[in-house]
Amino acid sequence: MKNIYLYLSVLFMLVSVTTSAQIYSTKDGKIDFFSKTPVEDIEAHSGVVVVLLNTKTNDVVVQVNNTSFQFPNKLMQEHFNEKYMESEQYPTSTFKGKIAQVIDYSKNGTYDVTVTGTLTIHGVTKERTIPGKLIVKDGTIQLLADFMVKVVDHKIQVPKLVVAKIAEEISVHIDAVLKPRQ
Amino acid sequence: MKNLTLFILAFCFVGKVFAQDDLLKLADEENTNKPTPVYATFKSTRLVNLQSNETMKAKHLDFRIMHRFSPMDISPDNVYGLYNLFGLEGAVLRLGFEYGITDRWMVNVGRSTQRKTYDLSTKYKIVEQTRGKKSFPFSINYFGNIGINTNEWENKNINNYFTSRLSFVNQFIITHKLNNNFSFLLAPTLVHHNLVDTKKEPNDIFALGIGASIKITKSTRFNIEYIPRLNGRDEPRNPLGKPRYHDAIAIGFDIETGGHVFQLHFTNTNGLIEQQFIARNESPIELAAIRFGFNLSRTFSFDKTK
Repeated sequence: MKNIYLYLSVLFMLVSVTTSAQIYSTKDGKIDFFSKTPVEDIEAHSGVVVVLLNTKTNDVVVQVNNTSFQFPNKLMQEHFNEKYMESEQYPTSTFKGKIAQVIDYSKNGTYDVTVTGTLTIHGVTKERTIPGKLIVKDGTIQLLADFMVKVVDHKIQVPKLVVAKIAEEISVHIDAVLKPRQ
Repeated sequence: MKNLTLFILAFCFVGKVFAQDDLLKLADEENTNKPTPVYATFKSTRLVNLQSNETMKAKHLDFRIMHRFSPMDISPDNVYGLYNLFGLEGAVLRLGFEYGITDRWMVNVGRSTQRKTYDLSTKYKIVEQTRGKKSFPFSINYFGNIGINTNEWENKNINNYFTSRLSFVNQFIITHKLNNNFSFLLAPTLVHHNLVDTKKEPNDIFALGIGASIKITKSTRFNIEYIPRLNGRDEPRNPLGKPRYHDAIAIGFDIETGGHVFQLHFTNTNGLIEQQFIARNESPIELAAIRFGFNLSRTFSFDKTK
């Protein structure tokens, strides 16, 4: 009888070890975004994006602190936080979704994927399906995605004075290499 | 035995329940663990007269024009208000450049018309206020300044020393951004003049600058400041036997339009550097002494990196 408990506990231990290895994560994913208009090109970069992937359920979460975006022009950076993103009120931008494809995470390979979920920016949540690339290589998982964000979709108000300088659609690029979470 | 089973079961479930919202919880935890510096405690590197905790960021240059007009003469017994267009006929002016060497350290050079004074100064962010788990509630800056008075010597027949032209300011600027709409500031200050007019006048003046800023809209703020001196309040005296120097007060509005910040204000001092408006402000706090002034600043970025 005692032996059964022992076997069981070993089994459970194994299960819990394998399930904790199903989370892949990084704290230094990258997001770049670009706003292109005939008047002005603006771009910003963050290198401290938190990305988490559950390989068992295919759930993905991408979250970035808005104040971590660096602009070459610091005045723009201040305006980005103060006027457009209102980062004191809405400190983070978040995407959470599910990868639609079945992926063998144990084999090296490149997969085209689509992720369906919700994108929350400026406190406004939108349903989105975003195409991307997933690269499994030697125990790491790289996620790449390019997509557009409409400024009006997230109720970000652009003053009429600068309307010509800020694009209606911002192009966003994500690049993150995930490792098994300890 | 029962306990052991429960324990093992619980142990097993720990690993199993990672759903989407748990991932989100993890992400939230990672992000709140990072202390993030607060931004935009104030709109500009100056509140009205006082320095704020803001500095020019690395490779950013700011050109600043500061004006203080003559008293507006709006008190009931003055009839010259409109005649002199509320003081707009006369002005003290300072032109200055501010440059960020790093994101926390800036240098500043300027010249004001009062006593033809050149000033060289530096401001350094010692500590930044942060939000998040391991946050720090205050920003602390050091501001130091050397003033060089280049007026002709009053008496050329005596030995005059270059050092007599110099004056210094040491100041700590402690600020707190309470929330999106309200920030305040304390600035313990020491002003030193190498040469003073009379024996009774102290060379060192201690003062405590107090200021606050309220956000009105995304581009405008309302500011208020008062700089009581802690010593030397009675000496020197003016010919009427009253104290010659007075504390400075000011209220102002910041209006920001893209790369420009306009600061419009009402104050009782025409000093444009700390030596003048803290230690040698000759206008008392009274309606007849209130004057209109503005600071105009334009920032240029020389940062080409991405």
